[in-house]
Amino acid sequence: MRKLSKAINEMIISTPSLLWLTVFFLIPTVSVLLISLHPADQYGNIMSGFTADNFKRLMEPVYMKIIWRTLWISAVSTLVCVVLAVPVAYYMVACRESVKKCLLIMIIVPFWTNFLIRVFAWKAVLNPEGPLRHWLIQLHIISPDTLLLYNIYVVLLVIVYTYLPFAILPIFAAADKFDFSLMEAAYDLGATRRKAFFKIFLPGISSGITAGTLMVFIPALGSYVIPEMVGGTSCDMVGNLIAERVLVGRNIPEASAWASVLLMVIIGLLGLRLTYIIINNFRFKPWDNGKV
Amino acid sequence: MAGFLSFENISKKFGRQTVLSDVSFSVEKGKIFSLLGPSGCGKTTLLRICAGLESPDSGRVILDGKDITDLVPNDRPVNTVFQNYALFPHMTIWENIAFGPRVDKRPKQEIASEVEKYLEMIQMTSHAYKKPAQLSGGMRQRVALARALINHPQVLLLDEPLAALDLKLRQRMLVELDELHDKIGITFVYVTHDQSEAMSISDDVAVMNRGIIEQMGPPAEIYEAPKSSFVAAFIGDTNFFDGTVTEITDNDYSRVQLENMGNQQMLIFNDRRLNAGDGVHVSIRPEKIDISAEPPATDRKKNILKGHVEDIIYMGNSTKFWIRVGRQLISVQKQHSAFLLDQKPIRFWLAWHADNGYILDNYQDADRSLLPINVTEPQKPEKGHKQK
Repeated sequence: MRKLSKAINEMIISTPSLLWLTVFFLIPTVSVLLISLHPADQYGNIMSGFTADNFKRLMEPVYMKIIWRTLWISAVSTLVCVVLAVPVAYYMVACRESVKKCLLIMIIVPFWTNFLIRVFAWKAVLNPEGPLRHWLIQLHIISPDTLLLYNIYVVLLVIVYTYLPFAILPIFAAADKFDFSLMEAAYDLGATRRKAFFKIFLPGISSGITAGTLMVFIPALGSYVIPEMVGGTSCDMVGNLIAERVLVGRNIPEASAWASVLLMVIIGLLGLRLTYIIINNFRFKPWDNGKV
Repeated sequence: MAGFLSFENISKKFGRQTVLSDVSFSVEKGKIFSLLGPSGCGKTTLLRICAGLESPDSGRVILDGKDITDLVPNDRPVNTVFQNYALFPHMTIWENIAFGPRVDKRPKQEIASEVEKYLEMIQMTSHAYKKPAQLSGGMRQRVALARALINHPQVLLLDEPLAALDLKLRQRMLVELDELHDKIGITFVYVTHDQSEAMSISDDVAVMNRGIIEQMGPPAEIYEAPKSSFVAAFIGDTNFFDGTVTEITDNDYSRVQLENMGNQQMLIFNDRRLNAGDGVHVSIRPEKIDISAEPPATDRKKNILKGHVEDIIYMGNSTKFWIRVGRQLISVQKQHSAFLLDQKPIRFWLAWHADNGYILDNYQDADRSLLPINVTEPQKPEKGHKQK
């Protein structure tokens, strides 16, 4: 009886958020998936009937190239973000409480400026007429015919710049909870600093690293503004393709098919993570029943 | 001081706070040596200096004739059992124990057989593939021990290893630890704030207070002949008396006029060759005092006082009496004597042999705030415990 009323209570409390998620997340997502299975007429209208044509078109080599590019740009920028974030977090947790707070604020401060403006700022800095290129040429670091903008490396750079805080914050949170007496125990047992870092510290903050990876990889996968503004035509990612299909090509079903591909990659990743957690927990259970 | 493990003139400051000032002592090979003291006395810092996790501002640490002061922790032939055990949570028990041999790059088969051996030693073979979080406190403690011992350290450092366990388990682990020590025979340095732990396990105890060693010696010596008021109060219960020497009765004994007890006098063993007129501070353990409702037989070397009962606390294995003599409260601890509990006389006779009173070397008046409460004024028992 008591359990039942508790269940009802929980249901009532969670209803608003569930409703919100259903209306503004689940329904749109499912409709995108459904639309991607509908054919389109030549004006881009959604027709009745089901077809897999939209997905078949994605298999064309031109498009496969873009999917491939999206995946590797996201993967590389995620890797760079995490590799940069771990030492930052390691350093931050060793700081005094006041310094720690200052550093945290400094990481969050860029968010006070609009994302678009920050990307524009990069555009200004890297502009062919801008000071940075001028200096680099003067110092003979780059040749006079090199452009700083509109290449794949700039896209990577700006993605890393944009999403680095998303990697630092969860990794910092994990490192902050990490028990550093474990490092001392490792030294005491004969481990070098390097070994203790890799064998004890990194596994100890693995939850933060996973969270940071997902926090960077998922938005990077959907990048649209960054490749659009600093990447030029040779650096199109799936996001640009979706925008092009909706705004220029006016083919909503095909755009939906593209969006579904991204969605599936993300769901696949989260699924992997979930499986990992479940397997880990499952391994736990049988032992728990033992005499502990 | 030539010992197996020697600390020579160790000093350490954290910021402006002095944690250790010029501490020197040495530990004999194969012994259990305890560092005992209240929290903040510097005992853990001393242990961490030995492990290499902290470096002293000055002084040397010598192990087996070699100066290890500047060695990094991973190059020292010592291992530590940490207070919270510091087991690696992402590794199984097996992997935890294998950590040392693995970083030491010992051959795989050797590691496997060694780990099995140590798992067997701590009787945890069946738990080898569990994670630390699935173990009870006592089990974790044993794993921490095995993880340290598998590296064959010359000295095992134990930092309050039993502090996280409950009383019953603590007593059992203490016995296990002692048996283990007998079996492997290496030197243990044991840090604790619990005097009963230190007393029962150690060959030698160093009592620390405010960054210095107050007294060092076998447990019995420290208990029976405390040199300072701090040691007397920290190790067990005690009664303190202030007084003035009035008369040297013969070579060995002197008569002391007690301050708080009217014109009562007390005979004490005079091992320090006092002179008449000297001010002295005397400590007498509660269990060294006999208590009776009738006047006891007199003896030349017996001190006899008469007092009124303030409180009687029944403590199970013994009974504690608070007796007021003049302005002084005296605590007396005795095994039950039924008649004292049943008849509840209000007047008692206290008697103790002159040899049981100890003159303290230094009586740190300034330090009284640091001492357990009953040193200055005996702690009044709570009403609930009062004998009805």
